[in-house]
Amino acid sequence: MSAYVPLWVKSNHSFLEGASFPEELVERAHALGLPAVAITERDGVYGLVRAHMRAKELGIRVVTGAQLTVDVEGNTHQVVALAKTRRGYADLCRALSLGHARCEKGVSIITAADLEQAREVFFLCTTPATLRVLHASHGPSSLFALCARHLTDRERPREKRLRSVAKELGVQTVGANEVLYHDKLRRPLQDILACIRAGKVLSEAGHAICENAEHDLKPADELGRLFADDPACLRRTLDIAEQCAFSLDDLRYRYPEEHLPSGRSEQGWLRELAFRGARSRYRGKVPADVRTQLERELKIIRSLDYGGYFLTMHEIVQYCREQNILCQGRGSAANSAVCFCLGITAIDPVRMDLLFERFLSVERAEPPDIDLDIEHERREEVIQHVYEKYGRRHAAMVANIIRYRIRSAVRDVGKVLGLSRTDLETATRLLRHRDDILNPELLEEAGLDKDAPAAHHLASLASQILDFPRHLSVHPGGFLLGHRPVDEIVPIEPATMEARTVIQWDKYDVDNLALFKVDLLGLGALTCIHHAFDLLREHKGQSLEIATVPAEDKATYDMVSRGDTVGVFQIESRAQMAMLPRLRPRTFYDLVIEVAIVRPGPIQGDMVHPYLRRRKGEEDVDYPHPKLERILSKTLGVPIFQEQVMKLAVEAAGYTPGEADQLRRDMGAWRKSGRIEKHRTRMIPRMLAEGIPEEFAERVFSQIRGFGEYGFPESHAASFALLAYVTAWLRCHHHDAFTCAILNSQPMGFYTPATLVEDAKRHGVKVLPIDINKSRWDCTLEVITGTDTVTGVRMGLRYVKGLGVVERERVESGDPPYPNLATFVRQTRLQKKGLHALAEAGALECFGLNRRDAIWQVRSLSRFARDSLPLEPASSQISFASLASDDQVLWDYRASHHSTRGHPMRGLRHSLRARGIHEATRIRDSTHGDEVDYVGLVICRQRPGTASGVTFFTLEDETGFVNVVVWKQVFDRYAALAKTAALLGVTGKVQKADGVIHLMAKSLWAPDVTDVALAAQTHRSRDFR
Amino acid sequence: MKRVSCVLLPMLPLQILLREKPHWADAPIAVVDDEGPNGRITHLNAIAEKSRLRVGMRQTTARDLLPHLHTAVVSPEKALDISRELISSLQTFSPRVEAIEHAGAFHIDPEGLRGLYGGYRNWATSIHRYLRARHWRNSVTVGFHRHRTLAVAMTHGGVTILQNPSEEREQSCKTPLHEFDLPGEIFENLGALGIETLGDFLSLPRGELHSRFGAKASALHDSFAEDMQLPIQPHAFDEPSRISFQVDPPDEDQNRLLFAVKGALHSLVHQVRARGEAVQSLQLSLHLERAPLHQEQIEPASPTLDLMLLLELIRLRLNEVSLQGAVEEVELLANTVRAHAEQVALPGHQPRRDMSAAHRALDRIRAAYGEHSVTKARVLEAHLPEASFRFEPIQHARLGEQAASTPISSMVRRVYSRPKPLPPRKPTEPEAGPSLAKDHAIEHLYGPYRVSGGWWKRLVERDYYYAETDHGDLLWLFYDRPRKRWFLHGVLD
Repeated sequence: MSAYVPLWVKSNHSFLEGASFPEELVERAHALGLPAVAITERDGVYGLVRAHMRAKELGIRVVTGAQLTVDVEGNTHQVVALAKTRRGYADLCRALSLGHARCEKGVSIITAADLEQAREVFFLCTTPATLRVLHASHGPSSLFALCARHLTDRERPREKRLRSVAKELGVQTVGANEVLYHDKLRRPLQDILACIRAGKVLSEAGHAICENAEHDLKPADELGRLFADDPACLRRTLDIAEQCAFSLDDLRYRYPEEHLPSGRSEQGWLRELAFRGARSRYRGKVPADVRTQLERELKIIRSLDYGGYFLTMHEIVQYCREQNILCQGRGSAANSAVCFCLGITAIDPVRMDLLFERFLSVERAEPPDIDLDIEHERREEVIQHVYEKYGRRHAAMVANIIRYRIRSAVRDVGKVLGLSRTDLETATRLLRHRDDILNPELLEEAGLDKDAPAAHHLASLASQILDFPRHLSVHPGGFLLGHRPVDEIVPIEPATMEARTVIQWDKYDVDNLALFKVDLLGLGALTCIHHAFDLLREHKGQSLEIATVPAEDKATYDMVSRGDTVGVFQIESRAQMAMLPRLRPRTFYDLVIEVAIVRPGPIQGDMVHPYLRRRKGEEDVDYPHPKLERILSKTLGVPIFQEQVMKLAVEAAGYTPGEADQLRRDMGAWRKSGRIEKHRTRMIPRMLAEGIPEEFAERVFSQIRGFGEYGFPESHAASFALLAYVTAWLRCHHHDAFTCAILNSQPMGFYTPATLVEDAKRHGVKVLPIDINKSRWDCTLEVITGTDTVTGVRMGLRYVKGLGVVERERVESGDPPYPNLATFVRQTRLQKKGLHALAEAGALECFGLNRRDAIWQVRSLSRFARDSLPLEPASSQISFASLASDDQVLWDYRASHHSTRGHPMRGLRHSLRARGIHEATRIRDSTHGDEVDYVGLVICRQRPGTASGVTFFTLEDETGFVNVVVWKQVFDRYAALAKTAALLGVTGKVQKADGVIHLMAKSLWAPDVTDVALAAQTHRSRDFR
Repeated sequence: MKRVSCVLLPMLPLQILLREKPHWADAPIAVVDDEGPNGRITHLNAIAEKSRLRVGMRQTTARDLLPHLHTAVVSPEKALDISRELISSLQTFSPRVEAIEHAGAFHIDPEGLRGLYGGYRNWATSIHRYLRARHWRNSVTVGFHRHRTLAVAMTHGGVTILQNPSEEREQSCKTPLHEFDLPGEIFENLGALGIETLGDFLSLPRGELHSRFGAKASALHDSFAEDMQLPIQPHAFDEPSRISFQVDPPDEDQNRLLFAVKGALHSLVHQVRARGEAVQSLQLSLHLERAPLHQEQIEPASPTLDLMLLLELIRLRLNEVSLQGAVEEVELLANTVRAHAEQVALPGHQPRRDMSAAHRALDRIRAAYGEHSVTKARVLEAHLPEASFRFEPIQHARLGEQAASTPISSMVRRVYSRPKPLPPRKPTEPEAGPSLAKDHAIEHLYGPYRVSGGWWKRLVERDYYYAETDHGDLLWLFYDRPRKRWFLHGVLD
C-alpha cells in the first residue's frame, strides 16, 4: 500500500468534536506523504479555508467536503459528501444552508430532497439506510459504502451489513476512518471536547467519548494493515480524490452588480459619481491634484474590476442620507479620494497627503476594506436594508468564531474533569488577577491539590484547548455580498439574533479568499452628533453638517488643550486628558496625532515622550537614516502611525510590498501568538545592516508588537479625529445641546450620565430635574423660566430607573400637563412599579406632593388606573416626612443615576473640610510634591496593559476630577478597598508636569464620614475596561 | 397573663457551616444558594462583611473581590435535620416546642416549668447554656406575644425576660425591619417611606398595606395584632418505637430466644399500629454476656405490620449467626413509616403471578444470606466490559418485561469477575499470543478490538480477541498493552 487519501477528517472547527487545528491535520498529511487530505467538518465547511491556505503553502491538495447529518425516516445518519466540481461544492453549500435553516443554532439536518440537485458530489454512506435512499435519487455512480475500521467490535457486523447492501445495489466500497485528531496524543483532549459537548463529566461519559484512540490520521501502511483484506477499497480513495478536483481557489467570486442607469457602464457610472461628488466637495472647482488623484484611483479600480464595490458603498451611504442616518467611512478607505468624493469618507486624502496604496494596490490585488460607521441606534435599519436590497441568499453576515481563552478553558476542562465548581471559579478569578497565567501555584491557591492527577490534567489540557473554536457567533457588522448567491460559496446559518443570517467563515477566512466584505459598524458618537445638529436646528436655527462645522476653531482647541474634554469622542479618557495639556493640539493634524498616540503601539514602542520633547523643541528632530526622513517628517522623526511602520519595513528592512502587506495582516491578526514575532528575526538584522541603530530598531519592533493589539493607521486616526473635533466644537460652543444630545445617545462613551450632568453643571449649563408635566422620554432643551433665550437641559423620563418600552408607550400616550396625580394615572394607566419609580425620582413633585407622599398615593392609585370614571379612592391620608436636601440627591441617584440638585459629595464637604480635606479645585492649586489627603467618588478604575500593573483612578467631587495613580504594591495592599470603594480616601503626593496633575497614592482609606451610605448609593464606576 | 418564649439561633445556616468546618472560623465565609458562579450569598460572617461583601451578591462577584473567600451550600435538608435535632433538644425543656418560619427560631411554652427551674430566668438560662455548650449561638426571650418575643430576640443577645406587655411592645418596636424575612422589594419600598423599624411599620394603617405592599407585608402586620395571636403548635415527639426485655438467666438457645422475642415483637407491632404506622425495618440488638453487642438489621420488602413475617425473618437471620455468648438483654427498635391501606383486589381478578409471594421469597433469602444477597444486573454506558454492567441489590421483584424483538447476539459471553492471567506463548515476545492449558491450543484469533481510556484515572489499553481452540471452544481474551500480559476474560456459550 503506497498511499491513500483520508476522506473523513474533522478539525477542531467541527465544534467540540475535532481535536486538531485544520493546519495540523494538513501538516500531518503532508508529513506522512499523503497526496491529499479531505476536510469534512460536521455540518459545514468551518475549517476549510484555514486548511486550504496551509495546504497551498505546503503543496498538498485539500479535497473539499463536509460530514452531513441526513434524515432518513426520522433517524439521522452521517454521510460524507465530497465536492467533485465547483457546481458540486455550490450544491453542497446550498444543501447545508437548507439543513441549518430548518434547525436550531449549531445543528443541521438534511433530507434526501435537499441533495436532489447535488449531482457533482460523491456521497460516502456509513449506513445501509442512506445508501438505499441516495441510491434511489443518485444511482450508484456517485455513491460509496464507507467502511470505517477503528478496531471496535461493533464495526464488523455493521460493515458486513453495509457491504451486503452495497453489493445488492451495485455500489462500490471505500475505506476511510473518521479522523478527529492528527496525533494520538490528542485523544485526551478529544475526550474532553466530547464531554463538553455532551454536558458530561469524564467519569460518567460512557458512550459520549470514543472507545479507543484510533481516530488519528494514520500513515498509509498502518491503514493498509487494517484493510489488508480489501486493499482495493483504500486504493479507491485515491481515485475519489483525483476526481474531486474542486479547490477553494476555483471560487470565482464576483461582487454584485449595482443597478445602473441605462446606458451607463459600471466604471462610467462610478467615474461620473466621483467627479460629481468632487465638484460638490470642492464647491465646483476641483483642484488639479485632486483630479489627477481621482483619475489614478479610478484607473486602478477599473483594472481590478472593483467598481461594483464602490458603487455598493455609495448606495448604502445614499440610503443613510435619504433616511437621515449619519454615517462615515473609517479605516483605510479614508486614503481614497474616490471614497471622499462619493461621500463615503469625510477626510480629504489629497489635503491630508494620505497614501492611496495603503487602501488599494494593483500589486496586492486584494479587495479594499471599507468600514462604515453608522449611528448606533439606527444601524439595524441599514443592515435590514442590505438584506432587502440583495436578498437573503446574496447577503449574510460574517461569522465571529468564539475561541477558548484561558479562563473559559479552565472552567470547561475542569468541569469535565469533575473538579469542584467552587475551586474552578476561584481559579478563574485568580487568573484574572495573575495576567491569565496558569501554573501549579495558582491551582493550589484555588484549593486544588497541585500534585493530584486532576490538577496536572487541568493544567495540560486547558493549555492545549486554548484558541480552539467553541461556537459560532456573528461579526459586529461584516457582510459578505455576492453576485451569485452567497450560499454557493459558503453555507449560511441562522444567527441567534432574529432576522440575521451568518456564514460559516470569519473575517480572516474572508480576507484569505479575497472576498469582499462590507463592514457596517455602530458608533454612538454619530448618534450624538446627529442629535446635537437636530437640537441646534430646532432651538437655535443653526443648520450644520459634519463638513460645515467651522474648522480650526481657536476656542475649541483652547478647551481641548486644557484637557477639558468630558464626552468628546476619542479624547475623553483619563489617558487622553492627561496627554492633551502636553501635546496642546492647535490644528486638525495635531488631533489626528493625539488620537493615534495614546495607543498601546506608540506607548509600548516608547514613541510618546520623544515626540512630545521634539514638539516642545527640547530635542532635535533627527532621523535614524536619511531615507527615513520622507516617511517620518510629518511626525517629527517618530513613527506613530501603522503606515509609517510598514513603510519603515520596506525602506529600512528591505521588505517587499508583499512582505510589508503580510506584516500589516499580522499586525491586524492580534493575539495570534507568533505571527508578529516571526518578523523580529527578519526585520531587526536587516535594519542593523542598513546602519540603523539597534535601539531604534528594537523600539520600532516593540511598536509593531503594540500595534498588534490596537494600532491606528493615519487615515483611521484622521476619520476619528474629525468626529473628535466636531464633538469638541459642539461641547465648546453649545454645551447645552451637546449635553442633551449625548444624554440621549446613551449608552456610549466613557462617562456615566451623572458625570456628564455634573460636568455640564460645572460649565454653567442649567440642568432641570425630571418632571412628569415637562419632561419627554428623551432629554430636551427648554427655555429657562424668566429668560427669553437661555436654554437648559430638561432631563428625560428615559433616566427614570425601572421605566421601559411599555412605560414609554403609556407615558407618550398621555396628554400633559396633567392637573393632578389621579388624572395622570388614569391617562397613562401605568402600573404600580412605574408609578413608584416616577414618585421616587421626584417626577411627581409638580402635583405638590413630596416624594414619600407621592409613593404612598401612587401605590394605591395604581389599582384604579383602568377605571374610566375619575373617582379617587378613599384612603388614609398619611403624611410622611419630606426628604432632607442631601437625601434628595441620594434619592435622585438611586432612582435615576444622576442628580440635577447637587453632587453627592456636597453633603460631606463640611465634615471633610473640618478635617482639612479639600476639593478637587484645591488639589489643582497645590504645589508639586505636596502631600495631601483627598476624598472623592470613584468614577473610573483602569489598569492598562501597558502600565506595568499601575492602576489609574479618576475620583470626582462637586468641583471636578482628581486623577490618582496607584502603584501595584499600594493597590495590592489595599486591594479590597481599591476594588470596591465607591467613596475613596487617598493620601498621596501631588505630581505636576506640563499642566497635568496626578495624585501619587501612598495609601488608600475608607473615609470616616457619617454618610457613607450616600456614596454607596450613588456608586457607578467604570472599572477596568 | 400567659407567657411565651422564643429561642433564636441567628444565622443558622452559617452556624451549621461553621460546625461542619470549624477550621474556617477565622476566615471569610459565605453561605451560598448554589455552588456555581451565579450562586448568591445568603449569609456572611463578620470577616467577609468587613471585606465589603454583601448578602445577595453573586458568588462570582464576591470571589472577584475576595479570591480566598470560603463558600459552601447548606442544603435545606441539612437545615431541616438540624432543626429537628434542635427541636428534640428543646423538648427536654418543654413538651411544647414549635419551629416557626423564620430560620433558627423556635417558640417554646414555658408555662408549668417555672416551678421546676425556680423561675423563668433560670429556665431560659438553662436553655441558653445548654445550646451554648453545644456551640450554638443563641438568644432566649420570655415574653407575652409570640411575634414580639421573636422581634426582641432578634436584637437582644443572651437571656431576656420581659416583665410586662408594654415593655415587650417598647422593645420589639425598635427591631429593624430588615431582620424580618420580607422580600427585598417590599423592604426597599417601605424603606423609601422611611419605614425602618417594626414600630414604624406597625404605625401604618393595617387595612392600607395589602393593596400597596402586598400580602406578605399585610400578613406581617397582622401577625403582631393582639387579636390574631395563635397558640403554639407543638411539634410531635419523633421517637422510634422500641421495646426491650431482660433474659434471666442469660440464654443462648435460639428457639427460647425466638419465643421471647415473639412476645415483645407483638407489643412492638401493636404500638406501631396504634401510631398509624408500619415497620419499615427492625434493629435487633442482643446484649451478650462477656461479649460485645450483637446487632442485626431486618428489612422486609415493604413496610408491614405482619407479626409472623417479621418473626420468620428474625428466625432465618438468627439461624445464620452464631452468638459469642449468652444473651442477657434483647432490644427491638422499629424504624417506621406511615401505613397505607392495601388496595383490595377486585373479585375474580387473580394475577397470573403472585408478586407478594415473590417478595416473601426474596425476603427470606435476604434474611438468610444477608441484605446484599438478592441482586439484579444493570447495564451501564461504558466501553470497558467490566464497567458496562453492575449487579445491584434489589428490594422488590418485578414482572419481567416482554423480550425485545431484536435478535439476541450469538456472542453471549460468560464473563469472569476477575480476568484470569494467561501465560504468553513466547515469554520473550508477549505480543505473539497466549498459551492455554495442556492439550488445548488456539487455532484462530479474531481481532483485535481495542478498548482504551481511563487516562484521567488509570490508563487502560486492551486488545480483545475471540479465540477458537482446537476443542471447538470460543474464548474471549485480551492483551493488556501497558502490562504486556494476556488475560482470559470470558467464554462464549
